[in-house]
Amino acid sequence: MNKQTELTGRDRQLLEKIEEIVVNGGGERREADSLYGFCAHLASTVPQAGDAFRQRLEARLVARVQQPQEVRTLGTASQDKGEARSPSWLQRLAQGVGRINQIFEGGLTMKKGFALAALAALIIAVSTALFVPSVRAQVAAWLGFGFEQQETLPPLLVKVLARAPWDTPEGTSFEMFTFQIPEERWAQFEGSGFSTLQPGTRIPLPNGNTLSVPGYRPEGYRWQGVVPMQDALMALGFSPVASESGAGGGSSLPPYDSDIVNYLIGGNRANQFLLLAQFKGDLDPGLLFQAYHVMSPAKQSPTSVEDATSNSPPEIVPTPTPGTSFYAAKTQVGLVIQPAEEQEGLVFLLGQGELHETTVGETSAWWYQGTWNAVGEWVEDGTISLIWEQDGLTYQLTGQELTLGELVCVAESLR
Amino acid sequence: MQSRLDPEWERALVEKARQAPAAFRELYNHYFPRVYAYVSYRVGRVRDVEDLVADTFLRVVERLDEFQWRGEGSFAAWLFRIAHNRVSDFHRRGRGAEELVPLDELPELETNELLPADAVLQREKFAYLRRLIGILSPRRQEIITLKFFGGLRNKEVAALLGLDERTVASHLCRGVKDLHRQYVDGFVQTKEGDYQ
Repeated sequence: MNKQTELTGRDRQLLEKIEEIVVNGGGERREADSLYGFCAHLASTVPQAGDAFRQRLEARLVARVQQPQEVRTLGTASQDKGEARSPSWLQRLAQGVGRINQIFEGGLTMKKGFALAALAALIIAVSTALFVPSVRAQVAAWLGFGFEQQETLPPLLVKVLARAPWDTPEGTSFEMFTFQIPEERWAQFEGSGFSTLQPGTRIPLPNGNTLSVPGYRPEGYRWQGVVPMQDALMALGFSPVASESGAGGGSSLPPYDSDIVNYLIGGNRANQFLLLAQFKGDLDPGLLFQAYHVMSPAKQSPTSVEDATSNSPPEIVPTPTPGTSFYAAKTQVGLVIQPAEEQEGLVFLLGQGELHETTVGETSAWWYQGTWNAVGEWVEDGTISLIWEQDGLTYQLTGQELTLGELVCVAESLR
Repeated sequence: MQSRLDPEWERALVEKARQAPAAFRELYNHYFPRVYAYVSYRVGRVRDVEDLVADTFLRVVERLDEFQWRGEGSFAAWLFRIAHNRVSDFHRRGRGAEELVPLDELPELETNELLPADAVLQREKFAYLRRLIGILSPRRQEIITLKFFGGLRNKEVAALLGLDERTVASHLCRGVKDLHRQYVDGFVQTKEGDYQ
């Protein structure tokens, strides 16, 4: 036996004691100075989750368990009928292979050769129907059912660049938008008696797209309608946000009005927000998308704003810093859009934010923590952003003081 | 720590859980505290813990059809392998890189003591124990947290980590003794102050 793994009698006794403590709990009070007492102390120092998180996750998981059940029920209803169960496709295939073996038993004759050629032609025809979209659509229409074709986008470009939002190379075109969310919006919202639309309702948007009312909302958050934060302000029963925009750097950017839209879709009493950005990913030439949040005076002292502004590198041209009036509002969010050099599609600019992979439903998604602030610093302020593709569009959902799980719940309830 | 499920009952639950939410709920309620405690010790910050625990259980739901019952403890080992992989992935990305997590960002502890001061003390104890465990080798950290907080048997830990059961037992003994030594020394040194 290896010396390293050799156990003494005391070791075995210790292992038995550990097993007993683990199974029965470490509740017994002992002095942790003794070895067994320490084990009991260790086993009884158990972190526990908050009830809210535990219950939310449970609800989400149970919904997932029920979801595939419905799919299975649709596909194999006969399986639940016991003896009336029909053979699975695999069993049927196996029977078919056995039948083919019987046919070709005794050698290949002319008649069997024709049968084999016909079978090969049939396989080729079916394959063609399955792999060529137009043929597939026609065959589907002829058969009286439809395929749901997944629209694919060019690969989403997600870059991590350590660069300030205002650090635009000289001569580079840019456009910027900043939106004030009034401090008193919660009171207005509650006072106006705004009625929330039913989850799943498709809201027509000014850019021609639609947006589903999410079915899930984080604790303490209320839906406040949909407020597009770009060009056409549309407030659905809720006081509009104010906006400021600017541009510079020379030539105009390629038109993208209907391709990038930012929406405020909810918030809570503490003025934390839930933002949804919707993009068309087939931009050519590409655009850089850089979201930022301006801290409220309560969260960021005027001194620090001045200091940070004065510390901005003097050679930065242009400097689309938000106007001072914007610091009077509680929360401001904005975005800077610039051309993406030699790249197609969307490029999200992250500072030191690390990019992680996750999923929204069955779809690959990315998430990161942090955002830009008004003076071009990357800050980890409890903001998490989730990016995913859906129905031919790219979405970015951003929330403050929410967990990734909560954002994923919101994202999945948009589908 | 909850007592372990009867193997036959657990097997039935796992099979039913693929379609019956009630069976899934029972499994979830049984394993959630253990997974949460294990991930908390391995990660620390409550936000990260919640993300990883949610991710673990979502994967469990997605892959439940792939699970094959291989006897007593096989489901726990399978579930904790998923959690272990999520935690390893988290550390590989450098997210948990040697940093002191502020007390108010740590999870709360199971306690019957309701006084706020007791809750703070409990968190300090947790922070201290977590730091002690962090001094051990990665393998011993993993074995001790899977054992004490995941509630796994040695053979389940061995199967999960691809080790011999004797090796797990040896690491467990030595790891616990090291921890105890550090705990006593550290406690004596800091008795006048706090756990940090």
